[in-house]
Amino acid sequence: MADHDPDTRLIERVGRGEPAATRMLVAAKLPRILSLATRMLRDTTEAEDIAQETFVRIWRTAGAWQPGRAKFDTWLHTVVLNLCRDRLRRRREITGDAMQEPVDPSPDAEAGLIETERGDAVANAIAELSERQREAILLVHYQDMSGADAAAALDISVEALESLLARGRRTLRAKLSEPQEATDA
Amino acid sequence: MRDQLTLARFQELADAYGGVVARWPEQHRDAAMALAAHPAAREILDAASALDGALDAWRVASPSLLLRDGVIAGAPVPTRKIMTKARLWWSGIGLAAALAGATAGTAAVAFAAPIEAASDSATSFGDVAGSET
Repeated sequence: MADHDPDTRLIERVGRGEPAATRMLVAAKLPRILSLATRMLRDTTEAEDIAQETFVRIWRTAGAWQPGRAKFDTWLHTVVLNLCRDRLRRRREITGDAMQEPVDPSPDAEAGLIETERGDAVANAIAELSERQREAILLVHYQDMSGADAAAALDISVEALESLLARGRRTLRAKLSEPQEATDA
Repeated sequence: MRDQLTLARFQELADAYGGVVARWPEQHRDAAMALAAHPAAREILDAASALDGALDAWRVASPSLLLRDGVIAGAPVPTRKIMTKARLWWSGIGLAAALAGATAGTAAVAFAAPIEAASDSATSFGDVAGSET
């Protein structure tokens, strides 16, 4: 719960403009933010934009952060998810389809994705999931969030989250057991 | 906290959270660890762990130094530094005002001063000796 938020003191120090706290926060959160944005968007440049936008919001919020309302890390993930959803919506409006082309075997040459064949197959399989299932799996498996925190970030119940996770993982298991189809589908 | 966990619920948790019990909701972990000794539960965990391993193949790059430095550059400036800067500004403004006043006073006096002194007691402000008589 928010009472046990491990980030509270750090955010307070960032709010006072302590350089050491700022560096600590960036070291702790930037990789998490970038990994979520990269997996959501599969585009390094856009993911880096999202990371910068997220930190602009962090800097604006830090001085007025109110512990007890939400865990900082959960709030942070909500911000990243919303920014990524906006980008995906814009792409959809432009291309007429979800930006995420799961069938594209080479999403972004400089995406910074360490694309092994298996990694690529996994990325494509996850891209084919429904938006909610994909977000649930990204938060719990890749961002290592607890069920309660991920549910809070997605604004759903823990039971609903578990259902999304179970359905998503079942689909992934089926897809990944057919590795050739993952890139052809 | 310890609760009773059925094999069916154990399966649901593994289906949702994967094969690492440490990632499961805290209230189920002790019971799950106890149940994991059961062969059927072990089999469930192994299957979930296999999928976890497959998902881990998708890795992404770490942030570049350029990005990190750019993010840090936008961070809030220390409050104390702002105050110090403000104090410096105000003291600078005060000093400039004092100097400007002194310069203006000197210039005014220089312009108003008599070109030739009428007597030894004459000053820029008049004949001091004369004014006393």
